[in-house]
Amino acid sequence: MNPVSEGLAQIADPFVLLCVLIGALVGMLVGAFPGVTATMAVALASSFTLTMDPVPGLAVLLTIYVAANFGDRVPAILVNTPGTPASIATTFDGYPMAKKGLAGVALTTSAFASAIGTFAGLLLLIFAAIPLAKIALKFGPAEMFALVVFGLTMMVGVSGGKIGKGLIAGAIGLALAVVGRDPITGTERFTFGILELSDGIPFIAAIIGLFGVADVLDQMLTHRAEKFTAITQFGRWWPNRAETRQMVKPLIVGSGVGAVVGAVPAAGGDIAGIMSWAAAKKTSKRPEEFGKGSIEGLTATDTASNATLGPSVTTTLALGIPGDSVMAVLIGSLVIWGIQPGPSLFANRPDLVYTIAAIMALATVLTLALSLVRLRGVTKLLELKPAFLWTVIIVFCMVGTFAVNNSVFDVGIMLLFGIVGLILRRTGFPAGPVVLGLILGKLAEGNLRRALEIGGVENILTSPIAVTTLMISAAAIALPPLFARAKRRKAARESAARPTTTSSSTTSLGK
Amino acid sequence: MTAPSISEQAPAAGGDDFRLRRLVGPLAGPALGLVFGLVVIALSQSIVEPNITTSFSPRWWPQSLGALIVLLSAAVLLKDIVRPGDPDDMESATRIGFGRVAAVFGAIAAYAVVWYFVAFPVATSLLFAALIFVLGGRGWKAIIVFPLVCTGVLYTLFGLLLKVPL
Repeated sequence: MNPVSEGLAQIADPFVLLCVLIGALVGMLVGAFPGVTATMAVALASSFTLTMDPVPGLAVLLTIYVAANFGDRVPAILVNTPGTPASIATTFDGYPMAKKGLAGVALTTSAFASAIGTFAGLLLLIFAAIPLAKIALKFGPAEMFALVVFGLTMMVGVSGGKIGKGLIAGAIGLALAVVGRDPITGTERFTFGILELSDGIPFIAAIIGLFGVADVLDQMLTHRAEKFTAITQFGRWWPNRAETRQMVKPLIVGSGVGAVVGAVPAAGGDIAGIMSWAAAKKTSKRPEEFGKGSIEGLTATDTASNATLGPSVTTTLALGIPGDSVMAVLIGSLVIWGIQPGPSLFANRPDLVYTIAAIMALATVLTLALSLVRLRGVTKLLELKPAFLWTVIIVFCMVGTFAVNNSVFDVGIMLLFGIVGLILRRTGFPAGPVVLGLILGKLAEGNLRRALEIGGVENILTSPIAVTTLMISAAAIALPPLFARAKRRKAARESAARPTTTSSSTTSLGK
Repeated sequence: MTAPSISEQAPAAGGDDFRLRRLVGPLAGPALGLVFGLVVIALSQSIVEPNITTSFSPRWWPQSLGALIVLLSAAVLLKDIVRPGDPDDMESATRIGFGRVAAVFGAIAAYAVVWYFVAFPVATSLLFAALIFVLGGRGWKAIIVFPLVCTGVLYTLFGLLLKVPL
């Protein structure tokens, strides 16, 4: 049996198909509720799926991942509130379209753009994952260490603005990963005699705390009673011929931008959506319509943010570096199932590429069908009081965490990380780099120490791959502030020049 | 010529008190980072050295990370004092919000005690009802029906289907 048929055969099981259906329904709901992110949902669901076999478990988690990226467009279009960060750019044109009485067209366009984007990204997974893994298989400790640094710095670099705090957050994550046994000598570190910590901080508990509980606590802390008015007039549902023609170019632009951004570790759908919107505006014949309800803008953003899914899975599984925060959670589940993401995974088990691609393709088709069901009822769902949502999330987080190891200690860790996550959030530290540091800590330390023991610093400095990767990492950290500074200076020069021009023109008029 | 920094514009908005308040928030993060880094360095000293001789002690990596966190935090702290940037774009916490969070943790602590004495479905129904109440839910549907339904779903899913010993 070849890897393709072997991979596809694994999803023919009716139980796996049921898992895809459940994942699609859960993912759509999760995406449609502002405040419940895909990361939070996948983290929570991983507590259920750990008792399953890997393929049905992956079917649930990957389908939630795909479906949440469809469902989150609904509140973005109807109430101008992104369901998850990936649909931020959907609000740019989706909500203005809905206000113009084109909510139905916006929802249908968004669903098709999201589906086409996901398929475009899946092509990359199918064709690039195995060659990438084969290249990465040749990596030694020096290259692997450089790759970990690359993943961490990219997450910091693309998390926007606060690079200093992002770096501190990444280092905090790496320090938390020290808890447990030393990867070389097996010496216990920072365990304080607690037996449960000798294998390290329970990863799923920490992630549920950082992404699930911390998010809810933050919402509780800042929530103010306000009522949003949802769009109730949906208008027609299908784009007309002219509108369909307008979608072609942004579909191509969005697929390209999404595929590139998704392949960069830690860069997710939110960044791809915004970048694609800007790129589509530049190439459009009607740039003035962007931001005012342009079907091109909406198509470009939703295609791009969904096109990141396939490349993101590729980076995660082929290199062991999470493509985004959902993938960071997925790595935790895979490790518990005994599947170690990294170069050897796809090289040894190429069938898994096709199983994953088939699950995601099926999830996309199913979610597209669900998305096309007229979504009038969703507006009622959006009126649900947050008290119910918060309560359900908190209790599910607690019971779900307990279920992983039947351990009350894990629940305590989860609540502790909830508070830690809240403090990080309120003090401006991004949670993503902390989680990435926590995941990659042992890998970074083990490979760095091995590389240094084999041949000292020269071992790293004489490897072209390691040096190039580290240089790109340095550029990811150094360039954004330099560009921002140059932009500020340019703006200052322009604003300083403006009054002079005005006064001189006034003078000339006076003459 | 450089753009006027925020610190140059700030006094007009309320004097020293305003500047102090603008500083305290942003400084809390790096200050915490600084403390965390120092704690990591201090705790690293207590790691037992193994009998096997390697080029790098098990203390080396945590000590290096602690030092890195201290250096980065000090740099951010210094930068924020000398040239405060734009405040973080986040919603401010409310007094009611702090009350909500404290009440939620109170309810969870009580749940831990109650679960010790009564069965999971009873304790969890009570937790649901308590959380709904402290978070603002009112009425018999919210306080009675909703907790019973949610507990039923949880128990079926985890207790019966996944065989978790609840």
